[in-house]
Amino acid sequence: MLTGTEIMFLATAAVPFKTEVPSWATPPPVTVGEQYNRDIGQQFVSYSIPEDYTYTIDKNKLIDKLYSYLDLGDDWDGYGGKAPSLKAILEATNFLKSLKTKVLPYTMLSGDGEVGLYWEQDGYFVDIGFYGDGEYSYYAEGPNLEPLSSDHSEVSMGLDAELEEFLSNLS
Amino acid sequence: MGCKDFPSKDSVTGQDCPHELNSVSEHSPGIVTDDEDLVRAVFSPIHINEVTGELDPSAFSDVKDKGLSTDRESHTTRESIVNRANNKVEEDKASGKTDRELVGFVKACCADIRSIVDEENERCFCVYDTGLADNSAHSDTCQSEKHSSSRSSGKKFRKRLKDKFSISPLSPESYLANT
Repeated sequence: MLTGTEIMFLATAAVPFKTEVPSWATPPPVTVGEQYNRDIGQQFVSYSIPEDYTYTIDKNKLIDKLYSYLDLGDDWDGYGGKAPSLKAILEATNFLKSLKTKVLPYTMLSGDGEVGLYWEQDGYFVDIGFYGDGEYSYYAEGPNLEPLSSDHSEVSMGLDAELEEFLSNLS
Repeated sequence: MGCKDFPSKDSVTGQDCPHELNSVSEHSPGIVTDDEDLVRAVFSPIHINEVTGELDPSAFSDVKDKGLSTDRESHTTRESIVNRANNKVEEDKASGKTDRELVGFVKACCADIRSIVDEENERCFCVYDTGLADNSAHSDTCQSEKHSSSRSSGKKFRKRLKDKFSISPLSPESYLANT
């Protein structure tokens, strides 16, 4: 015969744990720039969503995508493509992190291991490439703008001033 | 075979794309003529912008060294082109590229590719009849040495080449139905 303590133990064990998600754990829909007040139990907080909320999230997604290139080996494309070097990926990532353009680029990878960032919209086209040798190259063209190009821009110097001005046309 | 096997300029006469004038493959039905349509299979995720559904510029990057592989539509059937692309997906998946999918096909006219020239009116791309034992309709487009030696120039003319192809791929079903 079971003792009272054993019956209590079995009864407790038979009840599944309650896994209610606390209300503060699920982020509510938010609107950039609006003020929010939330009671998180022990304290009341007031905050607003920064203007760059979605921009930062989108940029982080691009950074994740660049880091995903680390998983690729030679023949990643099935056509004998060369795997990108760690340095090329880091150069592109750091360059992307430092960008303050209104519009974020897309990422791409070429068969010769070049890691690329590019914009293509409304007649504007900008293609920037990194091989991990400390330099980046680019070509840019747009409506009524003189095309820009460079074969040897230094990654450590960041975005070329004239290219930065060019990219400011994108919105 | 790669682009380096076909110098893009005759060192004596200075003529552009001299190897276009004679067949470069024993498996080829003949040189690629200007009026031919060239079809390129598009695979995800390697060729495609997942946001816009359009081709990445890098989908054309092989043009500077290995050669941009295309099928000559007038020397094969659409069914064969689709079957080859599906077989390529199966091969890639079998070798561990499990995310590989066939998105569809883009097309360009050979004359349009050959018409791309630089500021000095020199040809930027050559198109060769690189027929294979199991695909006589295979062709390759190669960027000239002059334009692939500079990184920015390579990007500029890669964009020109991309613009000659259809913007968004036709799905295999649409490609087969669109005669």
